[in-house]
This record gives sequence, C-alpha cells and structure tokens, in this order.
Amino acid sequence: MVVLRSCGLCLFVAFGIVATAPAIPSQDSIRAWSCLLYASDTARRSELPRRLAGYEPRLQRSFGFINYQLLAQHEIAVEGISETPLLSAGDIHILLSSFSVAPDGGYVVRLLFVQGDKQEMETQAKVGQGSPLFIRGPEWRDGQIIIVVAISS
Amino acid sequence: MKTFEEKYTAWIDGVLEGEELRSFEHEYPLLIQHKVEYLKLRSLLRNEDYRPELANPDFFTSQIMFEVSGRTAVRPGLKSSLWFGLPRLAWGGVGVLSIGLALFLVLIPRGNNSDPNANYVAEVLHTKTADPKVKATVENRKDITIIKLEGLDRLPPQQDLHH
Repeated sequence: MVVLRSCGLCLFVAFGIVATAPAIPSQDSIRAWSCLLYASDTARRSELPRRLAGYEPRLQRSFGFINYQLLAQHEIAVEGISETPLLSAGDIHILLSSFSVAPDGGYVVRLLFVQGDKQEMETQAKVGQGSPLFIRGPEWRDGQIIIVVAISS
Repeated sequence: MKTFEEKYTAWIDGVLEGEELRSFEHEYPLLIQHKVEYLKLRSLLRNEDYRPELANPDFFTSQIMFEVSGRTAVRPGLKSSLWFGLPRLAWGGVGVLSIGLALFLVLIPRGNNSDPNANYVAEVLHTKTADPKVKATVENRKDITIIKLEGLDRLPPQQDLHH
C-alpha cells in the first residue's frame, strides 16, 4: 500500500513537471531576432525568412507592396540586456533596451529605432512567442524599409 | 372412542384387530383395494433390485465433498478481488489519468492549427518619437501589428542596407 501511494505521488510530481515545463521558458534560451525588409513593387522577389513564413499575404495587404526582399537579419541571445544592438544595416539601427517576461508568458520589449545618428523612436511592446512586430521605416529607392522584431525561445 | 384417522393408521400398519378390524373393513370396503396397492408399492420400493448401484461412487462423493469445501472455504478469486481493493483501484485510476494527461500535453500539439493567425500576439504599449516631424501611429490588427513611422528622412538610394 505504501509503495503504491509513493508511486501515485511520483506520478503526480512527474505530471506536474511535464505540464509546467513548457510554460516556464528559461531566459537563457530566449532569443531576439530582427530583420530588414525592402518592400516594393519593382524589386526582385525573394523568399521571406522562415520566421515570417505565411506572412506575405498580410504584408501585401498591410503595406500595399507586392514584393518583399530580405536585406539583413540578426539574432541575439537575451540575457542581462542593457541596450543591446539588435540590428544594424546602413543608417538603420535597432536597439533592444530592455526585456522582461510577462506573467502570461509573453515578452515585454523596449526598442529604440535610430536612423543615422538620431534616435527617432522609442517603443515598448508586448509580443508573444514568435509573433513579429512590424515597423514601417523610411522610404528607400522605389519602396519602403520594414523592420521586423520577434522573440522566440 | 377412536377417530377414523386412528383406526385407518392402525389398519394400514396391521395393528387393528378383532371386532374393530371387521367393523372397519365392513364400513369402508373400498379402502381394502387401496391397502392392497399400498402394500404392493411398499414391497416394490423395499426390493433391493430397484436400488441401482452407482458405477463410480467415489467420484460422486469426491465431487460433493469438493462442492461442500468450496462453499465453506475462502475462494482464491475472492482473495485476488480483495487485493484490488477500492483504494488501490482509486490510486490506479489517478495514475492512469496522470499518465494520459501527461502524454496528451507532450504529444498533442496545442493551439488552433487550423488558423495560423490564432496565436499571434503583439501589442504596442507605448511609442514616443524624438523629432516632432516624425509621427508614429500604431495599427493593431488581429493578425499583424505595425508601427507606422511617417516623416522620416528618405534613405539615399545608393546606401547599402545589406548586413
């Protein structure tokens, strides 16, 4: 009887571990990713990054351009963040100035958008796992620059 | 004075004698025929030829003794049913349920797979621009969230934005 009770207790503990393990991501494994897209009607079409798979119709609908070309992308590990460059391409710089995990499992990020040597915008946003945030940036050539930021673990 | 039942019983047993016997048989002549048949039947049943010998009496005896012992002793099936008592069955059920739930959580993909936009969560809490010329507007849709910056300087076309 005692053995059976112990087995039952072990099963409960194992169940608790299995059930809660995916819900509490370790901050060491969390990564911030950003990319620069060139949206236009004239640029050659290219494959979107894997993290943006399935977003092309939404981009076309939201920004009004047909083609989206990947110009740059960068990924960093999020640990002890204190204003870390997330992406730099030409005059465009994205900095991650703070990061925290929300109680509901989302992520709260503070981003700085710098163009040239001028900080143009500061934003705080809450994003879900793998849910990218889009920023419509400056115009470039025949189209527009779009900045994408996503958090994943 | 004897009743009819007493006289009849004595007559059947053959102990009614003398005047009583004669007056009883004279009074109930039909009973004589019944008595004859009764005596025939009794002698027939007492005849040993009508008691068939069992071919294997030991087998039947052992079967009867087995049945009797089976009814009085505690059966092995009852012992095993006691082993699976209610508390153990309850714990077993809890254990099986726990394993089932754990397997469900591990193996079954969560979320609505039919709608790729179902898990999209992006919400802009705060936006501030340094340059008053630059305006930031937030477009929150079900499947996409965009911060639209207007008034930014156009980038030189020759600038290389490849990283």
